[in-house]
Amino acid sequence: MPLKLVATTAIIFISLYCSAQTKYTISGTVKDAKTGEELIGATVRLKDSLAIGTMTNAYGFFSLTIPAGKKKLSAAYIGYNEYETEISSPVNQTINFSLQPASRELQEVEIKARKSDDNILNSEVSAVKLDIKQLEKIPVLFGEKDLLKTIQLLPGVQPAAEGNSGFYVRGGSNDQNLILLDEATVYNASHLLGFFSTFNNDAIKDATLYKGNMPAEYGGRLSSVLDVKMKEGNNQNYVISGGIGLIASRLNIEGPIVKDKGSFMVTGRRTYADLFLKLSNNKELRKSILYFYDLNAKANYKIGKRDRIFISGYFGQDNFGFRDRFSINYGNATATFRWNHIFSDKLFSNTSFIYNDFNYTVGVQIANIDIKSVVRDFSLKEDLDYFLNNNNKLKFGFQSTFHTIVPGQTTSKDTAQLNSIFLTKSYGWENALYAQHEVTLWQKLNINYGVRLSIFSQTGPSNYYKFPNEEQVDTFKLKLGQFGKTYVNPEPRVSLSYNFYPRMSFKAAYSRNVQNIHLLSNSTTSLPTDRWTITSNNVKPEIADQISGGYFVNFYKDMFELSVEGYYKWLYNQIDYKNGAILRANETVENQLLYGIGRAYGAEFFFKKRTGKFTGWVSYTLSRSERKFTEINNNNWFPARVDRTHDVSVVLMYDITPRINVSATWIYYTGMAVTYPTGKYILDGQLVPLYGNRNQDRFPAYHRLDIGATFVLKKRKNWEHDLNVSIYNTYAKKNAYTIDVRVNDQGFLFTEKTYLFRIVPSITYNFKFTAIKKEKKTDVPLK
Amino acid sequence: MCHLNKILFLLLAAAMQWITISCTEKIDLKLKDASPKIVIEGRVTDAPGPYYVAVSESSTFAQPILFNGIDSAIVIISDNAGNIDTLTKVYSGIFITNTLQGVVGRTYLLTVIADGATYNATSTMQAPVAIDSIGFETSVGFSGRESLRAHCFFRDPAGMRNFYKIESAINSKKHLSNEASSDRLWDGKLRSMNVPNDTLIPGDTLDVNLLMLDENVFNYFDALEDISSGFNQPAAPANPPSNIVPQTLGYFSAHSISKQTVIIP
Repeated sequence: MPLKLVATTAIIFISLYCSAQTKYTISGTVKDAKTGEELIGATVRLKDSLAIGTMTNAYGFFSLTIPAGKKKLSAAYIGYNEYETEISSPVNQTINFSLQPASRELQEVEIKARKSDDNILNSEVSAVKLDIKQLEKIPVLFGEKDLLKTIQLLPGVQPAAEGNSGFYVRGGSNDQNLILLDEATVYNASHLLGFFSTFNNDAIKDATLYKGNMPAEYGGRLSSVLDVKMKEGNNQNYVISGGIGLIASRLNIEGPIVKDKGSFMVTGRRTYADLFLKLSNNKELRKSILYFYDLNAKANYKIGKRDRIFISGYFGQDNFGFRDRFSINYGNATATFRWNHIFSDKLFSNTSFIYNDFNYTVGVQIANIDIKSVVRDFSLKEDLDYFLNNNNKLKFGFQSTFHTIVPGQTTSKDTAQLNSIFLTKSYGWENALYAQHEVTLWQKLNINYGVRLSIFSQTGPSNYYKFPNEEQVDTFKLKLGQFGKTYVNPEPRVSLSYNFYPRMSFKAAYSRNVQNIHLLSNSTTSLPTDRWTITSNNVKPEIADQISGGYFVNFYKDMFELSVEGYYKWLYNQIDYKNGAILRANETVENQLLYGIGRAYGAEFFFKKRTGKFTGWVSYTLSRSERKFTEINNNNWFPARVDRTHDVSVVLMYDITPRINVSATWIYYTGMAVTYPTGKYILDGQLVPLYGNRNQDRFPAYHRLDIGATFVLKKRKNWEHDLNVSIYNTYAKKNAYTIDVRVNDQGFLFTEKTYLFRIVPSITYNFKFTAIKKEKKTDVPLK
Repeated sequence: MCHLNKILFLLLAAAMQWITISCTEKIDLKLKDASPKIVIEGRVTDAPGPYYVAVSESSTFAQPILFNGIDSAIVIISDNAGNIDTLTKVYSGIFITNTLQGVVGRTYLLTVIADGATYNATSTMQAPVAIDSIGFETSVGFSGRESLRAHCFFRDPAGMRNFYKIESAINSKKHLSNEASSDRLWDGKLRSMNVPNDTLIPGDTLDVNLLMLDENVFNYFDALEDISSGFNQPAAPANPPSNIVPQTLGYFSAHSISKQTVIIP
């Protein structure tokens, strides 16, 4: 392996330096002509020599080096009309493209190979770029369009529970997913205890999911990275759009700050289920609270030709109170400040300052206590894109994050009965350096290799614990700036693709991921109050090695897409809990943990029809995920809770007319691995269930059909509105949410399931108003 | 505090009820049957004897609910003061002591020979903590129904770990509960513990026993409560960690008891 790597590196460096002299570089951006939003992953190519081309980066920037001579340059992006331009003089220059969104009829004709074969050409394995527009057609629970529920329809991604926004990727747990919103980590991406995600679709521009083989620029979680980017806001016209749904309403306002120079976007959403509580006859219910809201805001401004700044933020909060007795309030806040700087036509830089905070407060009014907890990060991140030449792209940078964990501060207002308990805060400093090189050889082989060096240090000012044996607990103190245990982990990443036919490729990848922040939860239902803990002298970093390979093919003029992927994952330092472990309000939680290993493997099949009136996909995953702990199951392998043998998703969309669209999704998966009683006994006059080995049983298989339809009521340049109706669980399958053991009248035991939903119909009304300015005016003609 | 999990789960359940139409239905599952396992339950207290030990066998899920006593078992309790008592069978699987008297501070050893295997367990009797008073209050539960609750007040000895369990009886009828608490979060406080009994009727006689457990027995009851409470079952339910060696089902507890009897107002 190391020898091979050296050989490959040598080849790559040779290819780096054999470029000719008579070349010049074109750089610039590709944008949507209507909204001014930069397009990520748009292709820019030479018309007369298709092999010379590149793709725009996360900020819509590209750099292309071309041989001298008069050339035609074109930019293309899926769903947009291709745009061509003539290069007048053979000198280094900036060209900005503005692409017109294609009308539906045009799209079908226009979609040509090179716009839609990205899935074949690029070397990213196990990565899916989500089509945010398509997401709007897929029926969902309560009609709330939800990114996190849509990704669960992809191969290798499974829902954590009924109607839940939590997800498992390739046999990894929920906390092994890194969810980024404009680079800021979202620690709890759920609202209303999981039924909704924190992502308001109106605010999202782009989302990419990496199922373990992420490029070196990402790191920090074992299973996946979901990189979500907020919209920049229309920099041409002012737009007001929104929706009124059964559960929540949304409003989005966007527009130029200065046309073509800067724009802003503000999006809000609030549920109103609690308003119905107010109508209740029950005065106790009237005192209850149940709602959540989201606020997304973003602004960007170009300063000169080389600099651009972005400020974006998210604030979301759930407020939930049961009468005046108990309450939970929880939410995320993120803020990102970014600065793009173009050093040269080949070197693009982005610097980010990132803040994120997840906190909850549980109030137990009857016991006069409040419990507060916070997870907070401050980060500085620098990413550099160096477009060496058309076949060689370098990316390098660093990230430095300071983690603060406040594990639960119990404030008692009645200290006669209960002490206030302030669990010791813990601090961690996480640094990562990365470099990656993307190279194309012989126009057929794409290699992306790199390394991420992650360094994690436990730090002060705080107290930490040592457990020399079962009984003994020793304390040691770290002052501010003093480091405890430090873990250094190189994370090599390699992925390659080989196109042996124009529309066909083989891809393979290896990557190591390291995780230094862990979620502790030993209950069936994941709660926002589950405890986050960081790597320390006791808790080692979780590590995963994944290999994956796949075959990708597009056929029938790129109308169809087929892929088959396989993966195998080795997991180290996985966490489980001692019997009866106390995770809450426990100062020495680290001695309640058990450490073991895991393995996950599977095959993923994906077939998609991409164009035409009738579109959709079928995905099937066959997989296994197991764990092994010395203290559990006599050190034998047992199925992880997330293990699902079969997982099928079918998504169908049909445009009956340009104004009426219908859709359906059907999902099926093997029930989760659980431990059922294997018998019973009587103790102290009570019936007690007898348990055998861990996770040897299964929930019944889950399946469900959802259908939906969208009726466009009117679609004009400046005014459009539509009506969306959907039915969740159309054939009323009573899927088990929990299974309990009960005793019947004859004195026999029986099992009983609780299911959450039968048929849930919903209706949502959406509108969009665009104020198109006819002349250049400084004031806003908004009416 | 240790009920926080329960509170959170009840909150979740309430939320689910508002936004879902959750219902229950009988479901037939193929359950694996374990071969019978020995269940031992033994207690020695500072109250006058005799004390009993129950030895039985577990049954499969589908079998009727019966106490399957093992009559052939040999049961011996001894203490670190040199007393040995071989217990006498009184009912099927129920054995009682003949001469033994529990004393605070002594360590007791239980030996059970059953089905050809020998099981041993030790437990040390902790000093009692006096009940200060029993108080009553009317509270509104999650269902919105008002009910009368009893609280047992006592002063926790400061500077040491103590483990409590409250057992109650109404008109001498024992109320079953596995709830146990430690003073982890309220060391040295004048503390009230909820008497786990929600069918209190004015005029009835309520007996409250405050048990002082040793740590192993507390861990047993704490884990037992987790798997038998029905609320928010642990993700990976397992048999409670027994203080009996080799590991089997059940426990052996030597504990002291403080009593108070009141007429429910």
